[in-house]
Amino acid sequence: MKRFVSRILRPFVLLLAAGTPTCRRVVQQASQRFDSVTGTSIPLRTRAHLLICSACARYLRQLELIHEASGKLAQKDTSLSKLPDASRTRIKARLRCEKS
Amino acid sequence: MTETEPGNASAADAAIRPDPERWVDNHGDYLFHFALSRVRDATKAEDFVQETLLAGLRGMDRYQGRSSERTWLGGILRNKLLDHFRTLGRETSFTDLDFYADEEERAFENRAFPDHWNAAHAPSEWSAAGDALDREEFWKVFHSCSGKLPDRIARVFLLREVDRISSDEICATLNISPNNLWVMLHRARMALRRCLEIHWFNADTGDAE
Ligand SMILES: [Zn+2]
Repeated sequence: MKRFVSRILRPFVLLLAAGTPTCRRVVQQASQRFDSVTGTSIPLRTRAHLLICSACARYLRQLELIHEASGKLAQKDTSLSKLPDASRTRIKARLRCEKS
Repeated sequence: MTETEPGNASAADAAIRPDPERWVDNHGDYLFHFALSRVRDATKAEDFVQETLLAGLRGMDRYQGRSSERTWLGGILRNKLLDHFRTLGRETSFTDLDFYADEEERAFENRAFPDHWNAAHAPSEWSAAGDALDREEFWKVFHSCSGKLPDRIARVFLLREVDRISSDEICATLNISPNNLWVMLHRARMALRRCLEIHWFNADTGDAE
């Protein structure tokens, strides 16, 4: 039912969205906001787009989550890949040899 | 490499005498994982771990316990990787920029409203997104998704988003234009988002590709 309603409403929503930047552009801008030194604020026309386009609004939220997760990745202590035992032994031997 | 004055060195020695062989046990996995996710070659990653610990051993006198051992060793490794990437920088090829280009076309293929989301590709709502970061499985999926990115795309993404190195510095290190960097990061984020959506957030609804 929800899907049916949204299918009916979709063209109208998109018609409104037509006066604002395209989704493709909004999504590009969203990415650049994380990387450019200047202007992290969202332009007014983009804000208008986000009000009527739930897909782009979701995209932005999800990008924020990815950004947050990536930042935490550096702090995470769990190592998913383990240094093989053979390498361990080799490196220790090399360190011993360097020390003496 | 400059040597610290003998006086300082012996003072630091007396305070703490870190054991380099213990570093292998305490930080080996961490350093290896860090290097491997960036160079994607186990042999090379092992070399980086060894070089890092050797540099740590030689520079031990300069480490005065101001940061944790792991942060200090991680910093050495990071610089070694950057030096390595600097020599690779010039190889950046156009195929990296092609990555995900088709997928992006499909995502915005919309006959009625060009460049607006195609209904089948539009982001869907992520349920319990807030809890995801506390779940160990999420990190496995995140790791496997970032592992699917092509080498150079993954490299810029990790440098930018994980190591938080400035765009300017990445461009200088890898010898790429800001515009190329932006395209690569944008495509990396799109691909990662899509992969997370399919393999984590929608994994139990059964409508994965
Ligand atoms: Zn949109």
